[in-house]
Amino acid sequence: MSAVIAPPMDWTHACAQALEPLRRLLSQPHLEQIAETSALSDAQCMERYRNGDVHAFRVLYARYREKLHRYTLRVAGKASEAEEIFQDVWMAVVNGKAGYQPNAPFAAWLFGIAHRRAADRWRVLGRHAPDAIEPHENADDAIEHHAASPLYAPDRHLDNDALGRALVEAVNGLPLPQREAFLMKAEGELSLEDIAFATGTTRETVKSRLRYAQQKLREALQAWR
Amino acid sequence: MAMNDDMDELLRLYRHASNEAPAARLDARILGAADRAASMRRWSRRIAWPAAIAASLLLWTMWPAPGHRSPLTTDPMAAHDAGRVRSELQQMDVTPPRNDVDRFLLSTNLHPQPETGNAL
Repeated sequence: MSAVIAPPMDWTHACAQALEPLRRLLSQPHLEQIAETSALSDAQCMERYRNGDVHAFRVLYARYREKLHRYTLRVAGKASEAEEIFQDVWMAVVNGKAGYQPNAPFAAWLFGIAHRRAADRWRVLGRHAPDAIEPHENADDAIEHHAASPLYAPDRHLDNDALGRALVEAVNGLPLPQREAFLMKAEGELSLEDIAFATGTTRETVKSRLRYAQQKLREALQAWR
Repeated sequence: MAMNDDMDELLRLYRHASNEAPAARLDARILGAADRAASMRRWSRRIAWPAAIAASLLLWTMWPAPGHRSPLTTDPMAAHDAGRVRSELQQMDVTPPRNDVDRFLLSTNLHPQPETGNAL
């Protein structure tokens, strides 16, 4: 009795099928490698990526993808434009990895690119950046004389969804400089110095913008008192 | 400080309420580009040393070795030829030419210097 072996009609397809398990094995990182790379700092990940370690980039991307996405969404105002800015920023990281210097935190560098990309986009579209209104000089006094914050009202549940949504809407309504400063602090967890580095301003300017943003957000949540 | 507490509470509330994420196709596009860039980087590093060694070997084989001698110095007849040429030169007629034109050309400086005297 002889076994009849029928050769595959598509030789290429057959080879691909035979090599699929090996390809999956080589493309997926081992658990130990993932754990090791995840423990690295942002600067160490960038250094490894510069030397060709793609897993290091994946760690950075996983750390910042949602934060940067929400930042671009709230700064751009439109989902389609936010998506383009988001992609531009990461392409700049991929292609400009040699331009990163560890003297500044990676997050400050990343959000600085996002800030510039957004400004470039408005310039290309021939639009002015929305609501570029600077706060008045005596913002500190205005805040001091303001009524008590509704956030400390004892009869309010601060974590309910409606309040959260109202706050997000209020953030979207902030003037752009204050909105950027608040988002860099909220999403990027940047310090005042890092926000100043990312936006090309001074620490005092950032501090003033954050105070103004805080005042405006408290006013917007007054209805919840 | 009350001001910092207020900001901290705003930040906490915002982070709890803000949960948008990018689309999967966007993730795939960006990670694909990063993978390709990293592969190029690894490939260029792998071939850098072999290419440098190959180039060095090529230059080493093609470059003439120092102290390479001219074949003339090994010609056993070189001394005989030199003597024969000297003999022929000594027998050449070196008397000046007869006609005036040739004599004039031989005696005249073909690249006269400009006069520095009383130029008008």
